[in-house]
Amino acid sequence: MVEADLGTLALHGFLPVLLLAVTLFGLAVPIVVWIERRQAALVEDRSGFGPANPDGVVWGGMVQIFADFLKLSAKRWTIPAEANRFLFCATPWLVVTSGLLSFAVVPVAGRYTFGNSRISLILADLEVGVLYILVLGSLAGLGMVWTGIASGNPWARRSGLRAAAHGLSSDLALLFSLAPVLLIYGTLRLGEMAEWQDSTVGVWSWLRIFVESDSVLRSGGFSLPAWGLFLNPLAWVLFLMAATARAGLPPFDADRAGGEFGSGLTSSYSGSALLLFSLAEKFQIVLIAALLTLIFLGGWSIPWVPQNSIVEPISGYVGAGVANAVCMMLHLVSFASKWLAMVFLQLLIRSSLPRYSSQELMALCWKFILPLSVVNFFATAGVLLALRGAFS
Amino acid sequence: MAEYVGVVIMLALVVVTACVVFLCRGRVPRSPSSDLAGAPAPVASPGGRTTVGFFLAAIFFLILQLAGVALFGWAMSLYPLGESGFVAAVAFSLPVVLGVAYAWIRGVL
Repeated sequence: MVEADLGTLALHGFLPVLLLAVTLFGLAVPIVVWIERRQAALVEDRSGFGPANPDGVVWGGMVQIFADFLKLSAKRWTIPAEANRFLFCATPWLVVTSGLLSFAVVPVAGRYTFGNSRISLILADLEVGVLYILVLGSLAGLGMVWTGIASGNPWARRSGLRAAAHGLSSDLALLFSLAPVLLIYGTLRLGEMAEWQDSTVGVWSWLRIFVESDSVLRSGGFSLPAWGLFLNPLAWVLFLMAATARAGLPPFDADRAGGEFGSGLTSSYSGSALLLFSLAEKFQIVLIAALLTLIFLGGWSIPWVPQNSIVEPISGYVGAGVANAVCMMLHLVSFASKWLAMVFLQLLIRSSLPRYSSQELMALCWKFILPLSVVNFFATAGVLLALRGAFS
Repeated sequence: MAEYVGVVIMLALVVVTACVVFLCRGRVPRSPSSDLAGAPAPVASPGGRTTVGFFLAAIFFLILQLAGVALFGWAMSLYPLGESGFVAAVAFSLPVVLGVAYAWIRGVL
């Protein structure tokens, strides 16, 4: 435990917050927007950014993202006469704050030793971990419902009710789809989940990982990384579906369906308020990709290369500090690669699949994801206990 | 509580940013509802009757969410509780599952 006065804690907390904000706003969100627009353009066989002439596109289209940001920020917006002024102005901030605070418990790399200090690349290593993210997601959903009600027009109100029904349905689906892997890892902290996966599972002796408590197995024959994707692939599929539905991303965006209810929940919004909603949506894409990476793809770990096998050989030549720094860089690249793959997957699904109707989405959550998740949950618990000899 | 410092700082920064934005933007004008996409003035209040499906979804959500909270606690203590905990969790979940199954069969879901 580190003991320090409030001023020291604030100083040591402010710099990581600043770094997180710069990474999110300056790197992650622009990358997501760029991939979204470029990928949609490729799928739809059009140029995407700028004029049709590729020479007219500056820096591959990255400049346009910041131009759009400036345009929306400066645009004039109004409050409808029937709207609740306070809620109308406050709900965009509620939604974007919930998304932003979720990143506090998301680690991007492991723990590294530099001299007498041990540094972990996470803002707040809370014991509740993933439950904290689920709670904030529910808060964001509540914000979307309030958005619809506060706008004072029938389209937004109807969309708000849809958002409430979808949010409740997908919240449960998300909770239960996550439960089986929590049984396997035995922790709610995302960092510990990723560290647990930093080992291998022998394809022909995969049962041993549940029996031996040691993180490194010596199994004969071909082995796979001990990722959640391989240990419980059904949970991965169900979590991807439930998380996409929870965030209201296409094809599960019936509650904010543009073209069905005007512009859905945000019919009355424009300018900077609409920018906040757009930002919150991008935060969800970044967050879901990060969760998929940490929970199912081993986080920052490099397949078949545990952290010790990177640090120890290099330490002999250049010292432990440099070895840990090299390991940290490699882990950051590994995390970024997996995160980009998950962003690409989400946006490919977004570009490819038609929208689910409201009834179809609720049926999907209640009659497909939820029952399968519950069965998966109890089956995983039974198998884990059986392998420990509990039922003998 | 030291681990919450980062979260508190983030929240404080967002609140400060929101306050600065609200103070600097000036008064946002009200617009008549007829400005909404060129639509005519509304003839009725946005409030009204809603289908009972929304209410049912909320009720089932409450029941299953409470069950989920209890099952999460059991999931974190799977090995210490052993097979007796497993049997207790199944016995706890069975009435909830049967209730949802009944609702499904009856066409409520």
